[in-house]
Amino acid sequence: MKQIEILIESEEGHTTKLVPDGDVPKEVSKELSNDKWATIKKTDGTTDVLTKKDAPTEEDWKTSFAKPIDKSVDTPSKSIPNSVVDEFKNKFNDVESVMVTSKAKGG
Amino acid sequence: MVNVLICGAGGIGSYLTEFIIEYMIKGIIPFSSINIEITDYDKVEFKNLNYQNFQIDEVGKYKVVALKNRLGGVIIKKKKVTRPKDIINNDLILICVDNDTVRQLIYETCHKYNKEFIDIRSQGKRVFCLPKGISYEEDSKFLDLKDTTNYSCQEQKDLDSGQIQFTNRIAASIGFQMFLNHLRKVPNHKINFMV
Repeated sequence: MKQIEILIESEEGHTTKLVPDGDVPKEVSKELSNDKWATIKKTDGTTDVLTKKDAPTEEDWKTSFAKPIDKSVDTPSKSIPNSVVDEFKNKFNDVESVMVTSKAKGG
Repeated sequence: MVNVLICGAGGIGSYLTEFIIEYMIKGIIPFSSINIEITDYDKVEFKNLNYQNFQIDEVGKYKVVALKNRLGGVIIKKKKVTRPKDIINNDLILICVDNDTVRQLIYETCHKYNKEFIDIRSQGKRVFCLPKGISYEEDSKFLDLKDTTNYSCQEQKDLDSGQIQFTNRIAASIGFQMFLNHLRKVPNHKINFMV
């Protein structure tokens, strides 16, 4: 499986870790919920910056993981697509690397 | 004629002002194409000299007065931006402030009155530059509306240890290129990184 490098700002400078590309959204979501910002670099060279307001909540993730089970027992009227998680995951299509930083607020 | 307001003359705005004036003097930006205003209410303090574009003989002067006396070419306002009225006569706001309260006011006003902004920030070894986006909602995800703290472009621990960072000048440089892009109708995109 493809590994994606995530660079994370730390007190000493930064640390890096390699994460399987399928796990990157969940990993970044955790960092965003701690009020960090994440800059995603795509393979085509474009970038995007995500904040806590882009991240699904823990509840969204739980609902997302429970979806396959729910689907087998739900009636159509109860089946709600987890758009928050899906939308968030879509932001990581063709991701090359991620940089997680604290916010910049100074001037 | 583009009416430009540089909002804040600290670690970023003081350098950005010089970059703009230099390009005007050299004729790269025609004098007839822009009006430059700069607004700030603070005076130069000795502690600013390590990382802001001021000199020792300017300590005690208003920052905007010091810049005008040294660089010329700017209209100065010794005031804080507190109301939409303070900025709606400008076409482009270069945000170089140190707090989210003023940023929010400028974001809202620019989206409401169809004005442009480029928000230029740094803190420690981080740089963030945000050109006005498609909506206030999208841009406001970079604001903490309850946070009224003023943030230096230098981290306090770096100031205490004397390890002054250069990122405020990097941010000013990137902001200046975004400003040139804007004048030349080249699209900008948001930038966030740490060095």
